[in-house]
Amino acid sequence: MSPKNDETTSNPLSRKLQKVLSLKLDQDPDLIVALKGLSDVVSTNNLRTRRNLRGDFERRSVNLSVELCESFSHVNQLVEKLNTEITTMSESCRVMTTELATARTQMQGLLEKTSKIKRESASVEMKKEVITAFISRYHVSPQQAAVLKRSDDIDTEFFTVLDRVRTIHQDCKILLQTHQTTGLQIMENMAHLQEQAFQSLFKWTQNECRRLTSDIPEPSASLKQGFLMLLDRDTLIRASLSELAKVRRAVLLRMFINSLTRGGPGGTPKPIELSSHDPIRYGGDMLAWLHQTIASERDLLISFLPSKETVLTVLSEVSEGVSRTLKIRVEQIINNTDDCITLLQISNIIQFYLSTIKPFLSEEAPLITLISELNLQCRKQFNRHFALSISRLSDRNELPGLDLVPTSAFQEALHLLKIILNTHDVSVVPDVSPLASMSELLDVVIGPILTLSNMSACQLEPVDNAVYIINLVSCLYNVLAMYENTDKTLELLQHKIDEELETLTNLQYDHMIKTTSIPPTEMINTERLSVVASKLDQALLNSEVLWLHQCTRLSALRHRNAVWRGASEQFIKVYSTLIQSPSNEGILLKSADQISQLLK
Amino acid sequence: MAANPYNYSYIFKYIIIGDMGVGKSCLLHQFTEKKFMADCPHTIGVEFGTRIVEVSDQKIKLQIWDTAGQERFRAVTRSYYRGAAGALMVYDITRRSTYNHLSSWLTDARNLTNPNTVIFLIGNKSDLDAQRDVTREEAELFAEENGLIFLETSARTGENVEEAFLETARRIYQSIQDGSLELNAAESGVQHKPSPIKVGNEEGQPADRNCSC
Repeated sequence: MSPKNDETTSNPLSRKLQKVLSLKLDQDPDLIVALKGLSDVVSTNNLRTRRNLRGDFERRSVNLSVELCESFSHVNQLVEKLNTEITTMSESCRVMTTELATARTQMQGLLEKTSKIKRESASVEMKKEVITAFISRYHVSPQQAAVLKRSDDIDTEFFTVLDRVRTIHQDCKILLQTHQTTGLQIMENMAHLQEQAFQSLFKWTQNECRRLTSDIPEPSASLKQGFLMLLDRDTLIRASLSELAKVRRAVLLRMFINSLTRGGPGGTPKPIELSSHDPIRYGGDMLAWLHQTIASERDLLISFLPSKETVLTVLSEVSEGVSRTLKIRVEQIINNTDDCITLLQISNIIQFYLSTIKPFLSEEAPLITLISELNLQCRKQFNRHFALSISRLSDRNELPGLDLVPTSAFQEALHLLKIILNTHDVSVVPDVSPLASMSELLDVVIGPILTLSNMSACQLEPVDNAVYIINLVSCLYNVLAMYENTDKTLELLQHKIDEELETLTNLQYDHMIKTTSIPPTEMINTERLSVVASKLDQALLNSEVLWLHQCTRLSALRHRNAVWRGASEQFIKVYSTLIQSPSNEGILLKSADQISQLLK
Repeated sequence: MAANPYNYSYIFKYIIIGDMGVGKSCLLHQFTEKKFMADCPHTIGVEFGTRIVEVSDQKIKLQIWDTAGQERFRAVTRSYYRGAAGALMVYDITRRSTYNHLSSWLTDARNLTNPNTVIFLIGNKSDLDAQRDVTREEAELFAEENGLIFLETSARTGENVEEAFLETARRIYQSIQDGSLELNAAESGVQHKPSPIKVGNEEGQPADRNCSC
């Protein structure tokens, strides 16, 4: 086979033929498509068409090419136009880019500026805040400053501003640590403003005070604050208070005189002076009026004065206004009264009001001093009139009767004393020291009474004198014993009684010796002893002869007993020595005990 | 600023009278402090208290003078009746003697006060009803006969205490409205405080005073 194969392959024709033969046309898709396409173009398969096919196709191809060419030229135009536009655009873009670049450069500067400004703004803002803070703390606006210059109308605003000025002044001390000049300057300004404000306030306060001329005035609502502020300025507050005191003093005096002379509206209540015939009522009404008015006045002052001390100062000064008027009237009462009981009652009333009014005023208030002086005067007048009453009694020169009981003059003195002690006992004085006040009274009244008793007794025989004085002093003692706080005087009286009792005991003893003729020791002899024995026997039978008859006039039994006992004891003592005497041999038969029994 | 201390338009003066131990000071204390004061000591002479009350929309300051009941203080206390706008006459419902003395107190009150003075009869200690010694009817009759207003009160419980003080104030205020009480003189026992109105010529007056002084 190989040679055959070689033959076939080597022969081109055969190869071609081979190739054609191997063509399978019906299976070639391209060919089928081509044929189908041909079918569309060539409707009839004939020679002519087959001959012209090529030309047809070429013609068609040319036509198509022409068509294509035309179409492309149009496209070409468009493309060219596009190109132009793109070029233009590109140009624009380039320009724009340049512009942008320029703008960017410019913007950069702007941005820098902006941020700089921003920073500046922030710092300015900060400064503003600081300044606002500073102003709010250290600045007083002209309007505010103007408020401080007003002295005609002061209200809460004034005090707010003044307060602010003071605060600023205070705060400047902080400022001084960092900003000395500013601080000093502001301080100076504030000090100036404050000074102005205080001057305005002072003027206003003075005017306000001068307005307070009605009985119960209506102080302005700011007055309290005004006074409170002025406390900072010693001279100003003192001047203001004294102005206030001056005004109210005049008001109080006017009211007092009205009450004294005119009374209430339409004459009710009646003028106080209408009761001037009744010294206790008159004096009491005046002082009670003062008490009540001072209490009301204090209420008023408390409502707007800043402190207790200022109220006290002003009230003391205000109340002094009525002093003269009161003094004249009370002195008149005292001088026109000659009854010592009434004087004591008046003194009690004065003392009562002294202690009632004192708590409202200061201790050294002139009115208080005056009232104490008036009381002293009244007491002096009482002392005088009491002594006068007693001396009037002693002028009667009344001698005690044989009964040796107190004379009627003394009884009257005692009666007077009782009334005085009763008056004192029911006195309205809130007594801090009842003991002292009673001793004070007794010191005054007991002396004259004792003098009275001594004077009437001094003209008597010693025995009568002793008995009489014991009786008088005992009476006095008994009266005083009924009252409290009289112990000291009672002791004194008891002492006096004891003294007189002793005297009387000695006298009684002397009498017993005399009656029984007992001789002095050195003269004892048998003869004399027998006289004694007989006299004693007689006396013991009738003991009355031994007894001083005046001793029975001793009003107190215990005094009688005491004298008798004392004298007897002494007598028995002497008797004892007698019976022991060598001369007594069977003369004095009774023992001392026996005598003692018989004398009882 | 604190409450204006001047915000009252009238001042009325009262006096409390009656026997010792009827509870005058306790009534005053109950009224001013709203508290009962046990073991209240005897009043020495006179004491006083104040309270601001409201009557017919008017603020009124009551200035009350409480007098000692002890006989020995009569000479002193009588001076305080002067110019009282109201007098509270107190007895103790458990002690007839204090009631029996009323006529003497009433005589004093009538003689020593103004005809317009409102006299209020108070039977105190109404809380001690078990120990009652004076009937309400009897006292009512007495009050009626003498033209007095009457209430029984208890300073211990506070019963009727406000009423007594306030009713007195109402009556006084009524007298002012009627025009039978003259105002603005310390002596009439009532004072009116005009509302603070600025008067134009006020400035001149103090200046004048200043010159004349």
